[in-house]
Amino acid sequence: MAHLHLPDGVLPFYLWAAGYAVAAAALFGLWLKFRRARNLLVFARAGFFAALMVVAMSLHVAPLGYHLNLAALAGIVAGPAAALLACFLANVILALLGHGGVTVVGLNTVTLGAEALAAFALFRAFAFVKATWPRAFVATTLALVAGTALAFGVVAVGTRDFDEVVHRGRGAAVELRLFDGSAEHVGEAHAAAESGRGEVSTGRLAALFFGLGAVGWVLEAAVTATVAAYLKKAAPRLIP
Amino acid sequence: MFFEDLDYWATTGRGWLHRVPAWAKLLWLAGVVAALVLIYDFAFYAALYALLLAFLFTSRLPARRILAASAYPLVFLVLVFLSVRGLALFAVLYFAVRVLAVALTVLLIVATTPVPRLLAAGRFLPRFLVAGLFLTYRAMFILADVARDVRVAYRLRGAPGWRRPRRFVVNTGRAVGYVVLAALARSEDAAAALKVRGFDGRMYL
Repeated sequence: MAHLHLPDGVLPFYLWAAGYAVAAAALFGLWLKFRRARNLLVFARAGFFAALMVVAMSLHVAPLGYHLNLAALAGIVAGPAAALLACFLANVILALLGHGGVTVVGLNTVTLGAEALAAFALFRAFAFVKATWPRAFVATTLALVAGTALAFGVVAVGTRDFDEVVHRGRGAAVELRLFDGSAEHVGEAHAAAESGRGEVSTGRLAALFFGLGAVGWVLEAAVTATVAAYLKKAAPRLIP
Repeated sequence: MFFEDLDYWATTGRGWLHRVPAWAKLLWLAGVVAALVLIYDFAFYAALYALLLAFLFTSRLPARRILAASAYPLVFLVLVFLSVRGLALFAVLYFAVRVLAVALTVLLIVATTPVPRLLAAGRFLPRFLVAGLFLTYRAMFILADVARDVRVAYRLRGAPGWRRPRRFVVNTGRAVGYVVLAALARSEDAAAALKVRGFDGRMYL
């Protein structure tokens, strides 16, 4: 629920190319591992967990498009390799459904994958906590905070040139008049560009990201912790 | 679920866009992505969006549902706009039309091309990724059925909503837990099936 699907057309090329590069490096590592070990169970688990994430993300549980993303649960239950592959597969499928962009599959994989890996590491680090629910709740919350911080960093860096991108689009402002005959659009665009307005306020962006994200952290962590506690009873071999 | 509808439209549709080969559609998508990097003209994206709307209204697809789905990325855009000081109307229109044009391109492609055919056209991708995507695509429908059954059972038993938040979270957690168990059991079956069929990382699509 804390995960935000970045769309196409907003972030600059260098950023989404970097996202693809990082995701490709991680996937290459996974491919080498898969080739060496021929671990079909990890592969099949990744496929089914990705499908589970897509199904979960298709069901909105609260207003404003809040939905479960289950990345942290994938990290806790399926392990880092399967979870990372599942994050990539889920993001590709989601991009095909218009839920997140095609160009930002790499970046979305990095942010979602970071949540899964953080949840995996934190859940193991908190092994001294005997009760599964609080252990999973804290691990998931911290992982989601880390994922949101990463997504915020990406968006903050990506929208640094917001006014410049709009300024470049302004080249067509004259044509806009031909389309709808509205002189106001042209005037506003010029005024904005000339006065250098249209800057993203990092503080306001952070307040929105973390403010809205906090609701999602609590809901997702509570559901993940309940699932982990349920699995601990129903199938203890799955929860270390 | 929306992906089931998309699959249904792609496999049963008879519009002109359904007859366009998958490779041509992927080439079109590549062109739109290249445009995102190279072209910054508002007029270009407005014209592209108008063209895509024409495609949508002539391809015998449920236009309203596809338009609604293509608008989902605007949720993210609204967050960015809310954090902009001195936001101009032009900036709103410019980014909205860019985002909507790409989202509608992708949805038009997926709503008119069965996913296995798209994956078959994506032979340039690493084999194990194509196989993973195909496995995910198959599993989505299996798990959607399980999730639907669990939801019906949950509602038949009284399903407390947000008025009892603690109960709601506990029940949702248990319902998801059941679906997770089903997913893991089926993934073990799938792994065994892949093994006996001598799976070498390639799916023959």
